[in-house]
Amino acid sequence: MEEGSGLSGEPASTEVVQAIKDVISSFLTAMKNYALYPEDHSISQKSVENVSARLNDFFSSYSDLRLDISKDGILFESEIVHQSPPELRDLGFLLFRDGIEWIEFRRGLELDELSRFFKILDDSRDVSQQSNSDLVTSLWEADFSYIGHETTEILWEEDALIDLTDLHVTGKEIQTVSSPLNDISEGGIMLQAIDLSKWVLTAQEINDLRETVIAEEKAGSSEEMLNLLLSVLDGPLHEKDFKDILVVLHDEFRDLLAGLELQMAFNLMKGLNGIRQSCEKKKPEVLPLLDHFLESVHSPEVLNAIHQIWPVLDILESHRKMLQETLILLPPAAILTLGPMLLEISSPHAQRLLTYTIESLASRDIRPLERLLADPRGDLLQRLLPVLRNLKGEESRQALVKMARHPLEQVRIQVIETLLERDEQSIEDLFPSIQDESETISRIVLEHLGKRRSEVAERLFLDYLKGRSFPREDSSHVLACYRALGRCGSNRSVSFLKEVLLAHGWSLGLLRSLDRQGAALALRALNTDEAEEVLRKAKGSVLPGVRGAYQKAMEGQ
Amino acid sequence: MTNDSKTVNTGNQLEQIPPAPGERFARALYWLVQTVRIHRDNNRLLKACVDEFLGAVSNCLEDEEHFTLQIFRGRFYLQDKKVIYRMESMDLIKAVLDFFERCGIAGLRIYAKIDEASVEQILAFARLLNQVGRQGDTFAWLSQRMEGREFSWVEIIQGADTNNLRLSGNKRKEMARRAYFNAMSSVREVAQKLASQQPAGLRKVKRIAQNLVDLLMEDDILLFQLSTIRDYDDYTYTHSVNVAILSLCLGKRVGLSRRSLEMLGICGLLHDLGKVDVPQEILNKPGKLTESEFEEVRKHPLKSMLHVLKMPTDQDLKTKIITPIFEHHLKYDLSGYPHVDRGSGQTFFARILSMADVFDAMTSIRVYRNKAFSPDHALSSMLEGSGREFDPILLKVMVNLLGVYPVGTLLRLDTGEMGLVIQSNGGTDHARPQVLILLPDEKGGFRKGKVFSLAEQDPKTLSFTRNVVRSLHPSDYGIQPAEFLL
Repeated sequence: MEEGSGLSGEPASTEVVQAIKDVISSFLTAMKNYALYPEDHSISQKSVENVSARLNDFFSSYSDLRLDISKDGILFESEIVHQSPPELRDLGFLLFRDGIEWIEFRRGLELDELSRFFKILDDSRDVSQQSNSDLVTSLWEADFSYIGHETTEILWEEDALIDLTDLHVTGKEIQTVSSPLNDISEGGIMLQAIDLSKWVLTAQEINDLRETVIAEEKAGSSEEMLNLLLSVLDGPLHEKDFKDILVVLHDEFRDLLAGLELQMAFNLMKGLNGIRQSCEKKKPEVLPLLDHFLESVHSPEVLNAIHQIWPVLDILESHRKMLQETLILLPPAAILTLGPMLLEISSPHAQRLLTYTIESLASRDIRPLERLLADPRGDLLQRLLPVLRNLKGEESRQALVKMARHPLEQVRIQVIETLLERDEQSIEDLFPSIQDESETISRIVLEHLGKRRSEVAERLFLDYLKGRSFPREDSSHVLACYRALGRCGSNRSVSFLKEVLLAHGWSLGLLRSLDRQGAALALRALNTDEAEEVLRKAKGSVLPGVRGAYQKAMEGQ
Repeated sequence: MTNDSKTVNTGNQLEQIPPAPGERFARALYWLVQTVRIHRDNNRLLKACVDEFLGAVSNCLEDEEHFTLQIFRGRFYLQDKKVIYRMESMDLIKAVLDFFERCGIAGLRIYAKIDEASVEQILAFARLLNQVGRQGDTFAWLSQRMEGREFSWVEIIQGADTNNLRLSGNKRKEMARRAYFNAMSSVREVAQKLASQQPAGLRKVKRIAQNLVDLLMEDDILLFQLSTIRDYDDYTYTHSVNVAILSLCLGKRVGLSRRSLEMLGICGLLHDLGKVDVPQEILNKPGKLTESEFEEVRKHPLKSMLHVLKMPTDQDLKTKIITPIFEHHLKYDLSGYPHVDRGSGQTFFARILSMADVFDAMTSIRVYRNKAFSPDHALSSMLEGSGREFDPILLKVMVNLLGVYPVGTLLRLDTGEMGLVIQSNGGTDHARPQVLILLPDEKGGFRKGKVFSLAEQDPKTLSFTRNVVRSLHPSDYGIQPAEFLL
């Protein structure tokens, strides 16, 4: 910084003007790129580097660069160096619009400061009447070391300066001698002048104050604000105000998630859930507002923030835990947003977190999960199966039963395996699947049913085998059913099997032969004294068909 | 004077962080020039000042041949780089800037060969600087005195470019008044928009807060003088601006950053916004309010907060300002209103805001109270609430900031004169401020007389020439202090 610009006094030379025009041209390019690309994009960064290079050339050849701003354009020492069209992408117009009188770029200006300057220019293009900042306020806040500017008061009328004599220090009706306070100010009780020696800050107080100020400067106030708003919501409040606060909290929750302020996000959701509970009795009229808030807060618009923060969450377990605890506080309908994320975030940590969260939410209300399960995409359903597997209760079982009819075989297989492991009741619901068009499924069910003794399975098989709908034309199915009956059944089945195996008559022909063979297989699998007795009779039967059935069963066919 | 800033009594008790080289040099130069005025060459304190000055020079030179400390648009630059001051040094830096301005010099260039200069030469230069402010053509006078003497290690940079120097006093005052009325107009505009259910933005309020912070940094006394403006008819708006100003003065004194001061200023400007929802007949009721009317009034901090909450402000700003606005009627012991149970104390900003709010309210005539406290009595009364109503530490800061007789206090003197306090005495005797004598005019009002320091003594008797008999409230005499101060 020499005197002024170092160029004052003389008309600007053609070379100087051209150099300034080059600088401004690089400015316009950088502004354009900032409008098109993020600030950290290589194109944006290169354009700022270009501006910096042009400025440094100027600084080394001339001096600091001070530009005056007028409605017509940018001036250097009264000479127009850039005509400003009234467009927000134009540097001159943007500076003029917000009242910048001149702007100066000084030697020493570094790239970082220049980048921040272009970010401010870009952010300031869209300023409305309702805005809370503009180019001038942003430049003030940036407090640049090497970019100076002066502004003019364009936001206020010139005649705003009121004559102080026009202001009244008292009301017209005031009587200055009638107040009891006269005693204080005009005599009577004369207060002692303050003894300042009593009000000197101690070393400890100075230290305390310093620490308070440091803490104040560092602290984000979001937590303070959230605590306050939650307290206000919990107190007496007009419905409209209640709603307004919830709107703010909605945005705040999104920002907290995106900003990884997960403890605060948790506190917010916990607080709101608490308020919802207390409002059930105290303020039932606001419950719909709270419910609407809770519904809106799990929208993709809010929860998609999880995508952004996941790279960090993948590393920090404590953050994952806090996010999980926060998400669990959402309404079960959040499953509709969280479920699809299982397909979008591949990290195993994310899968576990989301699965656990969905499971927890579904345990409160399974219906959102059911809606998601109606999705025909098999890959999503497969991701959700572990959830269903862990869910307890009739609702989840019913959901699984419904899914057992899913068009995709792979889904049905997994659902059926899950259901079969659950309980006896599931066996009953899934028994029809022994007739599933998929041989695999049918086999799985039959094998599963034959794994252990089960009164339910035995009854179902007996009913099935006795029924008219039993598909006797499918020999392998028939034999598999009898075999499964033998493995899951008891002596209760012996009389039926005995009848099938030993009964006389030829009316059923080949089918009868298959049944006999099945019955012999079942009896062998039953492996009880009563079953052995029937098999012995079959072995000594006069009927070749019976003996043949026995023989095949013994051979393990 | 030593390098340890903790031992320096600058009237501010909050300095511990070591100063940057530029700040250290400015301070060292200033204290050298001040000390050389009252001490002989062999005085130990003066020697310590010279040592510190040389230490600061060496600190700035590093391995360079010379360095330049120069004022550029109201700020110091060391070797073309803006000197960043610690907040607690702002008062002293302002004094150094004033000093340079008085001397008519824009800066100094010190050469490495100062190593060869004797202590006597350095002291001689300091004495010249001490005298230069009293001369007519300061630069010419200084150049003449330096000519032919052993001052080759120092070069004076002339303040020829008026742009380089700070604004003149009158210009600053006009800017200050303009900022004040712009602030009033902006707060009124926001309030009116809210009252008519229109959306309101904070752009203007933000600009105003920034202007006030700039003024604060430039001339805090001038800013404080603005806060004496009273307007009975437009109380809410003058009060809002006054609270913002007082808060800023306190905030600066405790060392808040520029950005925090901006937010604190916005809090002050908007703290009473909720009054737009209180019926006018209640706000303007001359007598005592009924319980239900008072209940309405008690809602205004909540309403203020809600209005700000609904404004399209950025989240950072919103989170910082809504709690203090909500809590400005809360007391330090959490009594007051509105009461919410949130398990934490009053926020720092709210503690500042509430003191500024009470002070301005007590010193203003209100529709329901036809008498106001004089500033010193308001302060005395507030001290009784230390630890209960007000943060005891911040209250101490406030007392030390305002002095025994705050600016704008009207004093009856034992000479029979009336004096308006225009500046607290920054020295040891806080009870003896500078006063402007007010003389009766022909129209039944007052006109400006001379300015005296109440610390002034008769050289023969060594007794004070003027003493305070009692303080008065300017409004009792229809006096608008700002009219005489600005």
